[in-house]
Amino acid sequence: MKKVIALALAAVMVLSLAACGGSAAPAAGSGSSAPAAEASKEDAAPAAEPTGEKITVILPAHEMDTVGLHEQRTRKFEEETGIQVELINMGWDDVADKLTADLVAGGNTYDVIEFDNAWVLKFAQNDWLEPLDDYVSDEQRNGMVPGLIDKFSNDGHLYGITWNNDTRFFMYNKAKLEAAGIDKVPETWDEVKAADELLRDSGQILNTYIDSYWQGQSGGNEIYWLVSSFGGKLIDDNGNPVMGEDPKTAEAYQFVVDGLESGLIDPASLTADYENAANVFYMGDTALMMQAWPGVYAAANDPETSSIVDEIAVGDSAPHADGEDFMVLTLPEAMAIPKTSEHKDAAWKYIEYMSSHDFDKERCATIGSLPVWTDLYSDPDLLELYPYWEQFANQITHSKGLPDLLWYDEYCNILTVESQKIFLGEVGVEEGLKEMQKQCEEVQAQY
Amino acid sequence: METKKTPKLHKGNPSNGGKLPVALITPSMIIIFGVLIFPIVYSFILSFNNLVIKDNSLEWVGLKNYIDMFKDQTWRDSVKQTLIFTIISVFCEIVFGVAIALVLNKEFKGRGFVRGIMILPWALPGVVNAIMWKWIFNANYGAFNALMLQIGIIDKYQAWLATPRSAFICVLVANIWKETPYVVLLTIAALANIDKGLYEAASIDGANGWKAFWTITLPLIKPVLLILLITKTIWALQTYDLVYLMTAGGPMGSTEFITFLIQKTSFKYLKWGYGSAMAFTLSIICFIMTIIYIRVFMGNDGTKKSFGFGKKKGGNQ
Repeated sequence: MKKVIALALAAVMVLSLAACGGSAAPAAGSGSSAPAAEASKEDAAPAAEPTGEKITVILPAHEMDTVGLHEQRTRKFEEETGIQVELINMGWDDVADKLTADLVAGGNTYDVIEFDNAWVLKFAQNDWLEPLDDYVSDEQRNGMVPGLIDKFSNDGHLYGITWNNDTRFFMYNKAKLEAAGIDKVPETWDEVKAADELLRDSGQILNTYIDSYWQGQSGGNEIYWLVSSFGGKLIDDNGNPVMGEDPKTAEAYQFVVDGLESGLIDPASLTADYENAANVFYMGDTALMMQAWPGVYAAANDPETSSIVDEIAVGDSAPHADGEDFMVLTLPEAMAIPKTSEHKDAAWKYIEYMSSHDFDKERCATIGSLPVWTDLYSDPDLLELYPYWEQFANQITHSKGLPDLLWYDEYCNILTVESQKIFLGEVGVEEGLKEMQKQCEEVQAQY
Repeated sequence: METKKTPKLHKGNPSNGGKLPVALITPSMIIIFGVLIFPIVYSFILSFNNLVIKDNSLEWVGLKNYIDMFKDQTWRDSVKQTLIFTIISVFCEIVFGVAIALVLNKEFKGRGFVRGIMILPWALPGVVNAIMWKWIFNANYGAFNALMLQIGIIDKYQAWLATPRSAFICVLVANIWKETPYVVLLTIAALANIDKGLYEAASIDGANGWKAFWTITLPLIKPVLLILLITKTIWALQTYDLVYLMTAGGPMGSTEFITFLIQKTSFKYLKWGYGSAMAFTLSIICFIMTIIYIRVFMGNDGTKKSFGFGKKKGGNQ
């Protein structure tokens, strides 16, 4: 009996460890990964003499990099430059917490760090980052997508080089729309409502779409996109909260309240992060994905992860209110060098290498990410691989980033908490938006 | 007559030429100071200041952080939610734990195996437990929805983590499931020390099982229950990973417990002084509980009381 218990305990321990391993990728030391080793053999470049320098890089794992491409390239960088790299990949939130603690404490743990688009003001004003003006070449400045260079600049200085052009696109399940007798892809919210009736009547789905309206960063992103698609404003051009005064914003919120009530929107949206929302779409339980990242297309066509292989398509635009222009979200992530880094030149070499034109093309071809370099959008090799980029090109011209606020994290928290109160019917739309504005103004006054 | 020489006794005074004791104690004192005393003192100082991040300097604000904290509706809500969570969690864990321990204390076939299995939830890492329950309560594909649908309690899948009340209950269930086995473990140990002769005597006197539980079992395991009550309370007050992973404090901030709020205030909003004031207030609550625990366990004069541990079977209870 004791043996049985011991075996059961051992099994659980092994399972627990395995589960822990899956929740966050462990820090990868030099030459630690098997794929990396294989890649090194294949691309045997002349190895450089070790310089004795070692840099520490902390980045969230790229959601589309399922083949370990970044790890492989990092090892190749080590071989070619002789600079050792400790690459730390974790979940976005974990990276954010680790980084902030280190930067506030004035530590010099990291040489290359994640620099999210929502952190530009916070990081620049706290003087945490090394300006890259003296490092960046004209080729990079002129060759990279201008919006990405601008997004990571503040007060005339460039602080980050984009490594993940995370622009979102409207995608839909073409097969389900056709089966429901819908021959025109819904472009306006009224058309979405009309399609919803047909789709649910056809018995294929319970809800037309699921989005991420949970109490987290992605909830803030999606609510911002929704309000913008109605032509509404949460924050004005001067950075002041205006959500309580804008009728179009109220209209957007009313749409969600009604949509949750009618079944157009999956109630699970209130607990869903991006991954959860995408999973429901992949399972074929919804028909529209409002703001899908580029990799969703590939994942939806992968039989291992999806039940909707060959069913999805990319819209020419994204849903919007009648008479309003459409927009899609862009949430790029950059690499930056902390001021406290003692290996700034080596760190820059790494950034330069990982954002090079060649690697950008390889990354696009291998994992289907969006290019950072402008000319790659018309690259014939890539267009042959990804014909749907034609629709991406239509949508990307309407991309818009998140508001630049020094108090962004607190704004995002108020936005999601108070929005959930409205969505769940705890408060009315107007009352809720006024309360949201009041809270935002109180917080804004503290900065 | 030969006189016996009295052996020289060591006086035990380190100042009397004894450098070794000091050398042995110093490393542990440095570690204790570094990881315990310094953070507590620094956190206390920080709670009366605002940390100016740009130049890493402190700006004295006196009691402002504490005053703001008690005016802050989010803090008050968080304290209320944490206390409700703590009270219900601890109560359920102790009631279920004792009940299960009483069953597992009986002789039956396979008891050892059941006892081994019983401890597994507690052995699971908190992160795994939180992710597991998040999936169980998943609105679209969760096992709980499938079960409820099959037995006819619901007619369609529900988003259990999407409404404040149900999300709160889900977090409670996940916590109680994980923490109850610890109560079982300690209670079984306490039950093993009770003399079976007491029950035989009670039975001869005509006491039924219920009466025997209230007059024999409960008084004799009370010291263990008291310890469990206090430690469980402290642990429940410090719940963090469960809400971080299961609900992220939502919906509507309904599961935003104190530790989660402290983390957000400090690490996300960079209000380190304010976060420290919150942390220190929580620490004081925990510290008071610890003092009570030490007093109860060690006795008012600091000497160890037995509370029945280590007493011989059949001894005077």
